[in-house]
Amino acid sequence: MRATQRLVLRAFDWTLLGSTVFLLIIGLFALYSASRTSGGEASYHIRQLGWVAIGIVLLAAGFLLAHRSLDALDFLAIPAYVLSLAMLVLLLLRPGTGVESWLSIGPIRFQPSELAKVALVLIMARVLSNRPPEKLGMRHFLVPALVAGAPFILVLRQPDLGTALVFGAILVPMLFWAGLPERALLFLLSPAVGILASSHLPAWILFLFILLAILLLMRASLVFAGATLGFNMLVGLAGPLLWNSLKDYQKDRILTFLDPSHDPLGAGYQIIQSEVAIGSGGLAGKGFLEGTQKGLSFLPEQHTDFIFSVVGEEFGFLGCVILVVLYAVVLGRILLAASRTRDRFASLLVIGFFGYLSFQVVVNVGMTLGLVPVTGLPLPLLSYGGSSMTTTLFAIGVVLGVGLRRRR
Amino acid sequence: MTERADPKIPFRAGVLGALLLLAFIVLLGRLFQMQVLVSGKYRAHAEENRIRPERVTALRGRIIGRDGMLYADNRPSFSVAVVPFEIRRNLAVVDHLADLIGADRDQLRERAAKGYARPHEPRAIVPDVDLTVVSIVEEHALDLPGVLILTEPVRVYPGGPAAAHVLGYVGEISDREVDETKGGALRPGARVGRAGLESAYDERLRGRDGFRYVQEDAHGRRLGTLREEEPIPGEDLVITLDWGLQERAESLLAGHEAGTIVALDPEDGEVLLLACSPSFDPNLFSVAVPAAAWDSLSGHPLHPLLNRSIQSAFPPGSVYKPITAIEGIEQRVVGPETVLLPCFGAWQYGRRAFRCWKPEGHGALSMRGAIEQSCDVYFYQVGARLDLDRFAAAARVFGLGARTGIDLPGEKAGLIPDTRYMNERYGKSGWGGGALLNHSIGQGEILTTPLQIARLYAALATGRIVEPHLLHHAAGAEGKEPRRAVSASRPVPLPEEILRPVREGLIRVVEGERGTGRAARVQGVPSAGKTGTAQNPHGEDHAWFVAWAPANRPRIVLAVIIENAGHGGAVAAPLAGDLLRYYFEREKT
Repeated sequence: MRATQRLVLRAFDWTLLGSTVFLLIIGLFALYSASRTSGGEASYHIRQLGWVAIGIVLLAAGFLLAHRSLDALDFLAIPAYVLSLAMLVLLLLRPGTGVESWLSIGPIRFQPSELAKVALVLIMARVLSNRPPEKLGMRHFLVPALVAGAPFILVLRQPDLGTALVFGAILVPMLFWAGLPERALLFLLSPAVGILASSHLPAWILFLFILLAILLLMRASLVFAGATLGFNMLVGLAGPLLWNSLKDYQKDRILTFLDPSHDPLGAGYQIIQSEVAIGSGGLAGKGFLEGTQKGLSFLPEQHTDFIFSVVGEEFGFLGCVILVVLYAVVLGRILLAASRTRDRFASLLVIGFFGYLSFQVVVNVGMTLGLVPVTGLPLPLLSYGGSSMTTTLFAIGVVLGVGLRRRR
Repeated sequence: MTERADPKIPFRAGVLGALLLLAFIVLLGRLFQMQVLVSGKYRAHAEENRIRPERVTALRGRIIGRDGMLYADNRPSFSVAVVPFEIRRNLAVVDHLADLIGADRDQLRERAAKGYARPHEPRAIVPDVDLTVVSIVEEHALDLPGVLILTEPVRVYPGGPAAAHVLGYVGEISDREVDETKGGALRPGARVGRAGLESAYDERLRGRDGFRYVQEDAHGRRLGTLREEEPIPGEDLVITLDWGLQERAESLLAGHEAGTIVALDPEDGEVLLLACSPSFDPNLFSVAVPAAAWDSLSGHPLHPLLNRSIQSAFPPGSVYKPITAIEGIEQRVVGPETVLLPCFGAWQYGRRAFRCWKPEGHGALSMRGAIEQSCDVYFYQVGARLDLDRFAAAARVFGLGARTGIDLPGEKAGLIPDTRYMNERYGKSGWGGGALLNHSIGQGEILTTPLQIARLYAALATGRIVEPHLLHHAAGAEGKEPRRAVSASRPVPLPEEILRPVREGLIRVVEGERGTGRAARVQGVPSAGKTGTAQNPHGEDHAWFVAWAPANRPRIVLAVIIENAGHGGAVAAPLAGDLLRYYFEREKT
């Protein structure tokens, strides 16, 4: 008995847990600082502490479920998925609210899209683990694509393109992990690139030629090459039609998404302020609570989406490197857990969480640095917000649990 | 679930890991560049200066008459504004401001607290202040952080209430509307068209705001502009109104409590005049509306904001009789020459006597005579033989019962009752043939707008149904655009043999010995028209007159209605005559 316990203790991924806790602590300090600069009225760090507490309970739950009864997680997949879809539909049906992505039940307010991310990981793992990799044909990937498509469309209608893309970031690595042939990946991903090019005819034609060249290099069959090109043509033609059917303000939103300077007083301004804050932090930063950048206090989202700017200004390049390395460790350990486990369902589950968390980290940090459009995606473990905090910690709990299973 | 390991897993883990590593290297590279290589540039921004975004409001397009009359323009105006984000922390500043400029503390606080949708965008809280207030605020600038003076254009209507119902007015946008037009197209406190042309063409009139990032030092001194985008002014609109006619119609209406006059060019549907009484001054809305003024406008029993030519539906009374005549001929119930039973002042139908407006009766009449004298008994006899649904269809052919599509918001469709409507309203056995008799003289359930009636008479005159419109053309910044294509018109699907006798009857209304519209005669310009006296359950009859001139080659059609004023021939026809005389006499000079 004692021996197994010691074994478990040794097998437990202390590195992952330690890095997570370290990130949580940095986040609370950054929030404290952000609360100070925005006028003292807010005490985000106190409330965030509450969310962390709830999150740790969920982390334990995820750990126990993954460790002791994967079947329960498997069983939970469908109800969680249906529930999250229902709530997303409810959000759209609710009249008279603009871009609110929140749903309240009594005093609790949360974002159904966060639940939908976890639910999608669960159900995709369930669907994809149904048959062994060598028996997977291309047609077996149609169902997963449809399963991921539903929440994608619903969140897109909110409209929240950033969150919708997270579903893509969950879907694609999971399909790849499950053994989707490269050509299928090409079939699915090329239209996504194509639709971006479709607004500009010469660019789109160039895109089609590049696609043709890739198909030739792959020595694709005539049927597959025809299907891929045809699918791309269809999407490319539908793009402008779809665009023209949008209302002006909807077009504005998408343009602002692709190019923040389109809304110079809103998102574009945030980017400038964020860049100034981070850049002025220099090598060592201005020191904790010493963020003097007055402009920073102009950032309404500095405690949520732009929390990284606070770290960048006060802890400088060295602080940022530490932060980025911590994320690299967390994500690396998650990837390791996925490749070590022998249970296909568990492995897919962990890869789904890997895609979800990696995408949000890269996109959020990229956004504060002006590399990526403003999307409204939170920085996992750092940004203020209960929905993101609890789902992230639950996911890490599941990873920790799966990590122990390989020895059993 | 399988427990066999997939042999390709290490390869896939390698691919995903490499992609992630690549992304992280890009992020770190960018961080290194910003925080180590060019950090000094950012530090200069952060420590010495701050950047404030400033909106440059686009000038709203003007509204100009085709004869050069300036209906809507802009004037510069100063307002005291606050930056919500800075005020939120320090509402005492607002109190201080209120004391300085002699405003009410609570009121200012309330306005300053309104909505933080865009916390960095200055929001005007005391609009349109004079230079004294401006200098007070500037003098105390150091004690008033977050307070600033905005210079903005304000809408002005040089003619005051002139053509107010056509022009409409502008009002402050709600925060929700701001949210719905993301992309920064509108700012809180912006003014948008709320009625009339201002609303119908709001987007074209509005233009697009410009912006600039202003760099300021710690004392708020402006150091320079970082990036700038010029505003795109709104388009100037040239409208079809004839100012001479409009002005004259308004002064004619001023003698009456409530009424409206609308005139069209019968060839292409251009609206030459549209006047309503009572009227209002749209300048009231350009700056914040004083509560008392708003109450007296919205609570007024006669509804001055109502555009009576398109937003009020009246029973047409006798001006509807041409429809009855046309349907009678088309259904071969009567011919143009048919003389029906003579009128003795009333006609017995079932157990009820339907009275003619003239108690002593008209005697025996042909159709032309019946139109000339507007004999109700003649039309009762026609109506008694008609089919309700075909009768309704005949009215709809001329666009009655449907919006005309004029480029103004809030148009009413009116009502042309058919069997289905009557059954729904009264039940299948709740109405009888008597309803048709009422409809045949334009009474009962029928409702029409004056604009619909004007268009009906344009169609009777020319044989074509036009689309009424006010926009002549838009003169964009780059110069004149081509004149708006002559609006679509469609032919009346009726043969000339049916229209001609009706038209002849209508000419006799004005020109004939016994015509009811003789008061509208114009020396040297033969005209056609029709009087109407619409019974009104709420009070005195409404007086109608519709006319076109010249009779054979129509150039203008106009509809007049004076509410609760009595007989059309006595009250409305003289107004029409006055306007027609003015119109054709002006031409001679």
